[in-house]
Amino acid sequence: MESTAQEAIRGLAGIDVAIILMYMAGVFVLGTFFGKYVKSAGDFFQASRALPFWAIGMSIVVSDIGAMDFVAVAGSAYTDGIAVANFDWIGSMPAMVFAAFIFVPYYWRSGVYTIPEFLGRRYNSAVQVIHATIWGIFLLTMLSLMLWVTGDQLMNTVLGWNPKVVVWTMVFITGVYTFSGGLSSVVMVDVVQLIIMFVGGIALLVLSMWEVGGPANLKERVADTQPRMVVVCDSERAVSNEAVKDSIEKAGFTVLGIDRLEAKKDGDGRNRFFVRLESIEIAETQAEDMAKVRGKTKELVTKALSTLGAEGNQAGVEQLRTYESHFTILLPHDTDKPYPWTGIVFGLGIVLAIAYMSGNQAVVQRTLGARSEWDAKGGMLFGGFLKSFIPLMVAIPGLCAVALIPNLAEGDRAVPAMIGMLLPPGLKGLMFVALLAALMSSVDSTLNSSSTIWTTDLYGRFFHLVTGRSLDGRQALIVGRIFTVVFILLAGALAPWVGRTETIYVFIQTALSMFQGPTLAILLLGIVWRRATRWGGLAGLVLGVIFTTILSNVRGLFPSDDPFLFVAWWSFVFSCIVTVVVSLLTRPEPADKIRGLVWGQVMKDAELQSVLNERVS
Amino acid sequence: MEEGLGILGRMTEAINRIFGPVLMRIFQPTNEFLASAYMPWARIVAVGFFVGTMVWVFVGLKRSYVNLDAPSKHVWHDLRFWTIISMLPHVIVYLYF
Repeated sequence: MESTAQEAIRGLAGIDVAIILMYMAGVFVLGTFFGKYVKSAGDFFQASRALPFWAIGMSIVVSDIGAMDFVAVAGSAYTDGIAVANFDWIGSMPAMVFAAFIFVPYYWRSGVYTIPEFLGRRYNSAVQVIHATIWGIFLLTMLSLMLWVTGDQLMNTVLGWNPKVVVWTMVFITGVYTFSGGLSSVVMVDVVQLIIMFVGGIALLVLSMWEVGGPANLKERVADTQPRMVVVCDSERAVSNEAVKDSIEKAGFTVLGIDRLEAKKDGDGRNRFFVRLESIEIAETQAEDMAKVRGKTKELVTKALSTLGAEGNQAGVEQLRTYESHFTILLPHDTDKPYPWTGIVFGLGIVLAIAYMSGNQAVVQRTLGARSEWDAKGGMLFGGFLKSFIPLMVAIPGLCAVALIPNLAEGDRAVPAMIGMLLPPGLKGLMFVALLAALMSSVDSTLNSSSTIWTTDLYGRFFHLVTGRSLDGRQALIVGRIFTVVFILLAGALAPWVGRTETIYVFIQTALSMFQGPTLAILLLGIVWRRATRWGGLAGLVLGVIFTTILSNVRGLFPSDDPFLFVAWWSFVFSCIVTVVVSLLTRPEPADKIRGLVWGQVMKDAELQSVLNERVS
Repeated sequence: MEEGLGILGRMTEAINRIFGPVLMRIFQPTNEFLASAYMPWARIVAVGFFVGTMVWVFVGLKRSYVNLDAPSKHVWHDLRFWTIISMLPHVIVYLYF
């Protein structure tokens, strides 16, 4: 079934290829058009502060959703269910409301280019440089990774295109228009890309639901799907399908079918099998306690398989798919699936989402280019509203794939397979354009934001340290453009290496996740509490990152295998406490330094408030 | 490279040995308490998060602050209503699923 879908996609019709080429040419022309308006750093980094709310909202959404999100979210819905939609629902909308009404007005009023710059004004330059260094490196690595993952895993695996050609084509198109028009080009191209992405996504949703027979049928068909699992028997010699089947049946399960899978790229799991079971009912456990049933099943199968390989070799269940909770959005705290409700509400909803929406330069930079404070806030809210539709276009087709093609060993194959099965010529080309749009919009935003951070917070600080002067508008524009060219070329050149060296990606991701809770703590306290001091902020950031390192490395503290949601929450709480305690023990900041940067001053200052009232009425 | 990994491994072991017992005493009871929590509480907390945010924007924030620089005083330019309209569908989703 999987190879049939792949064949169907590889056979793109002439009209599909024409649509893809027209799209690339159109984006290139539109993006470079805005170059003629760029005369200073303000034009390049802040789009001359002329962006309307609708462009900001659309750009935020499309920058946030990459091509691999399309594939990975659908894949996660296919294997783990609707709970993955939490990332675009409770993990977005409330955070965007908080960002709109707490953080964005302060960034916008202070007229900064970057969040590290805001932190530098509120606390000190050490906080600014630490924050900028982590984000600068992270954004650069992400650029390479986005290019390679999409070129290799999407365009090469699915369409058979040469990944290096895909990467360098993307580098050329996005590099030229980002260099030329800066934030204006990025945002206006993003608007077009969002429309294309929504048309492609809605087409996939409608055709998937049509094929399944509507929502009621979908729920019924998913619930009736029998359990599947991926098992590994890591032995030097080949283990036969029959031997694995016999072992699992001896453990008390009825095997309906078994297929050998390809070994993983890293060489692990030379004997991997996809097994379809009749059921996983076990006499000694209660049917309603599915966590126990799943745990017992894994234990029994692992024990049965361990006799097959040579002594000392690993055997076990890599993945167990059951479908009873595929339509449950909030899973129990002790679930063995990746999204327990406590982690989702506290770790994701309160910490990671707010840290991302308020502290990610690629998101916030659009609001800094707004034509008014109302447009900055409205852009955030409009973005949250649009983002609510993403799970419908991505997660629901993943669930439909469970009913239509239940035998995919890898969940990430669900979207490509559905495109191959359901979309006719023309629409198939449009869907691939939607995926390219998702990629290019993420690349252009990341490129523009990383050049802004490197120019303002790292090179700008260094220049000030050496010369005693700040960069003027023209110098900043030249440096920003040089960084844009260097970074996109570097990202293209390093893409294959970063894409294949998993440890680099894991290291950078881990470093960033360690940073999120402490960063949110000092950002939030810096804005809402005037007593927060520079030493409080520095201690909260540094000790918070150390605490996160400890939490991430102590085994068995949390129920999940990958406890990043819990770590984010507790590191946020810890950093808040440290910042408050150290601030109270140190000298308060002078009133002049924090005027206009602290919430209480704006809300309570009678003079300032009467001016605001006048302007609204 | 292997030596580097060895150092990381030893650091992880040291962190586990030094901090593990203390942190376990804090997080073990927390996990047990949360695992036994009545599941409808999850829904109440999630929906409460959305409703609380809406109430905060509508009641807790001054209209002048929310709508500063608005193009007009019309209700369709009032960001408090934008917040309600954007968040209500989420409440329905979390009640349905």
